[in-house]
Amino acid sequence: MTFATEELDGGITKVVLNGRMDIEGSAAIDLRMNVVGGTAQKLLIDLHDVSFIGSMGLRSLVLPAQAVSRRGGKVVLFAPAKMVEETLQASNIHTIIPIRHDMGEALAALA
Amino acid sequence: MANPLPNPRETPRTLDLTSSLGELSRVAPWIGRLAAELEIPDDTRFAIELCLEELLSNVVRHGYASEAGHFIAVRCSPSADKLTFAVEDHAPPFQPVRPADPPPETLNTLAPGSQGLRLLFRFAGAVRYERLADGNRVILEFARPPRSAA
Repeated sequence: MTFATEELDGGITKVVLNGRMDIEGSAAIDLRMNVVGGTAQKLLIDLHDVSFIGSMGLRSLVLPAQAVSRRGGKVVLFAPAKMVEETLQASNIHTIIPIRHDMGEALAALA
Repeated sequence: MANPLPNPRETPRTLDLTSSLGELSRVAPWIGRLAAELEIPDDTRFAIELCLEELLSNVVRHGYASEAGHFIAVRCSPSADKLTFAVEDHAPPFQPVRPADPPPETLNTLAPGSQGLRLLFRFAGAVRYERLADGNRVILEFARPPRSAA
């Protein structure tokens, strides 16, 4: 599981995740996700290259999203693959954290 | 008639584990080998991996209270129309039950670690439980699409 960040215009922090968000993969990124969640005001989490997600992976998304939300910030999940998105939907996370597949729409949701 | 000898190149249908979360990293590669041999579609493979991760982590964390070194076995039984996975342990009785739908949630009321059983019942075609004399058996079934003709 790899993790990279990029600062975009408009004060947006983009996190790019790559790999399997299973128990092992989630443990590998949790600390860095929580650091980002503790500092970002507008957070875009790019899930395009996440091939698997389980409940521990969902937790790795929800905890930083909650931290951002508590400070009045916004979070968007970007471009999950089909089964990853089905997992987000099965957990009702899609009703709480918006999912966008178009970058322009993702950036607009954070404006 | 005696059972034929197993093909030595065939992936074993049973995976023996011990009760630690680190052991669960052995499951996905095993499923990957089975998927290649049994022509399991990617979406079905995802569902199998997801359900086994949720069920096995429940066994480790709740069944065995995170105590390492206890027995867990996963057996795959393929048939023409379904894939059956049986997970056996020697933990105290624990029957997975489909959780009730949660009330409408907000980001700040969502319990971040509460999704495991919901995912299990959503992605498995069937979930059955059998209490054993010395443990538990949970049986997961996944529909198997017809194989394309050669």
